[in-house]
Amino acid sequence: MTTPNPYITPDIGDTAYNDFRQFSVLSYNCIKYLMNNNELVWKLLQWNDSDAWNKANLTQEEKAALIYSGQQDTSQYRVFMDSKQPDVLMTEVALLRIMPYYAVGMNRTVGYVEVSMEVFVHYKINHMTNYKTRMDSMAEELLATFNGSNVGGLGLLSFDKMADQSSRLFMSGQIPFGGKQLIFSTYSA
Amino acid sequence: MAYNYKYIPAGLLITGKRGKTPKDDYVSLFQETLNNQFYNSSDWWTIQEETYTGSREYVELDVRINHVISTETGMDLGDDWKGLLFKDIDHAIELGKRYIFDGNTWMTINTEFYKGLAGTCTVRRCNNVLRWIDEPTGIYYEEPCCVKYELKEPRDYATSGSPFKTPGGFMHMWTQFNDNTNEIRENQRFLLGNPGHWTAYKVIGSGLNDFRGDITDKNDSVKLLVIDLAVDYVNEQLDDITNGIASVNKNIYTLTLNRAIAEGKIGDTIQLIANITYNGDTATRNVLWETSGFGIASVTDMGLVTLKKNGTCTITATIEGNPVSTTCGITVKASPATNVDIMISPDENYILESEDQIYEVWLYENDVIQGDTFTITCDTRAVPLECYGFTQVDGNHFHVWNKLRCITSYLTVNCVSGTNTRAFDIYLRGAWLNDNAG
Repeated sequence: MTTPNPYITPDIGDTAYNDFRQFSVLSYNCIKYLMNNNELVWKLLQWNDSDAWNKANLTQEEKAALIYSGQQDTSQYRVFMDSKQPDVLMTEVALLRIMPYYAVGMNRTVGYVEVSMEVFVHYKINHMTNYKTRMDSMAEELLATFNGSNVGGLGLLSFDKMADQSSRLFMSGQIPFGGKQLIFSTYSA
Repeated sequence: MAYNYKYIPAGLLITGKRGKTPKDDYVSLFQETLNNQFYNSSDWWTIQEETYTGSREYVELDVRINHVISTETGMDLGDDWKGLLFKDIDHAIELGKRYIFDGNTWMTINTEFYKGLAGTCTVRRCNNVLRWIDEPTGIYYEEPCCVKYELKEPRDYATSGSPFKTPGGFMHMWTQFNDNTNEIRENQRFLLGNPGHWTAYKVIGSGLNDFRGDITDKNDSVKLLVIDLAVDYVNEQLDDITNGIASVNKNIYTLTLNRAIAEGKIGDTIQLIANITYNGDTATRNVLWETSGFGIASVTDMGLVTLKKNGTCTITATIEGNPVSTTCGITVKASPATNVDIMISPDENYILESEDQIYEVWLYENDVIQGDTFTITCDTRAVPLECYGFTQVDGNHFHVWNKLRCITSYLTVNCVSGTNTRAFDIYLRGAWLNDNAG
């Protein structure tokens, strides 16, 4: 079977347009998927000591308590569905931000959406007793969890330069919060 | 002779008691005036004075206490500044010297020592305490300090490219320069505030101003330390947010002795051996030994106990300056039980990656080595086979090889000789000890 060229709009009618309806639930779906399919990331967000990786798994309630949902002081939370931070942080913590980052309409019916996952870690809590850094451990877990995953409502999420030239992991943040940013992509039609 | 302050009979100028010049007479008369009039006031008090700067020992002293006026503004400096007038015009006055009164520690921040007639100084109330743990030794320190009221440049700022706002603000404080505060270094963090809200402050790069010598050409005459700090971050897991001590939980010590109880008869000696771990790994620190009954058993600085009289007492071992301690119960009697130890050497509880170690294991009875042999087995727990090698070399030796670090578990070597057993845990660390990671 021949793979259709995605850059050619198929003849599917004049009213067929991509509505990108899943765009606004991308963050939610990814965080929910992470709650159900990963433990280490949550431990590294919850605990600020160098033995965090060795702690017990968090309950779903404990995970949920880390997620910001519109409260007054953002500095008390660790997981966000958007970028930037309006409130000053006064504690050595790690943060995770998952959000739609970029969208491309390849034609009027097919497009793809990039999902950005940002990990920020205060420099003083980055090195852990397992000879790994917290930041790289979290980035690795995100890659392992999401690459090729079928995140509900999104379709296949991939870390694949063949699918999206921007799929990559790179440094971000600024001292004292270093960071790693990962770009995944998913097709939308 | 009685006379009023500020009124000195003219005749005394000529017939001074001890001086040879009129100036000496004036000085002598001023002292005599003080002697006569010092207590003729409502502002004299008995306070505690440090015996010398940095001694941390105090003696009682009568002084007169007054408010202080700023020489620059003419304004009263407020209740946190006081002027002390001493009875003796030659009273030793030093910058940094501490006093205790009204439930507070006060520190000398200015003296009128040079070419001054009266013995006076200005003291500032210490309104806070610096608390810290010295990482290399585990010793806890507390030093009163005077924090300037206002934080300089308090603001949250966002630099270009930063995803976060950064807390800002500089704190200026004084403390006594002594053996303890001389340990403070740049980048050291302190918690200030209260158990409901601690803020971390970090000593800035130019923040240790320890160059205010009392004597021009003696840089060891500094007695006052001025510290500048900037706002930093609290770690709720690693910092002691109950007592306000930074990084306490990053420096975890344990202390055990080779014996929890021991028996002997008069004249015997018992060697106690302290085993210390620092963040899980065997470490060496100073240990202080103390006996609860010196007449029954004494103990040396090396943990050697000498039994002196029938009875019981407790030997306490403490890591110097650290709250961690443990005890050994001592019984002295005519027919004591035999003290049995299984000693493993070296006693380090870890092996670095790619290294191996041959251990000796010997039975001791009353500190005398025995020829007994052991059956030595290794409980591998969940350590993967590819991570370790273990062999019993002979009845008193075993060999352990750390082929590949194992961070999730450890080996337990069981040494059995008759009814005597000892379990010895060995951690397979990486190429370096990672027990002090942030």
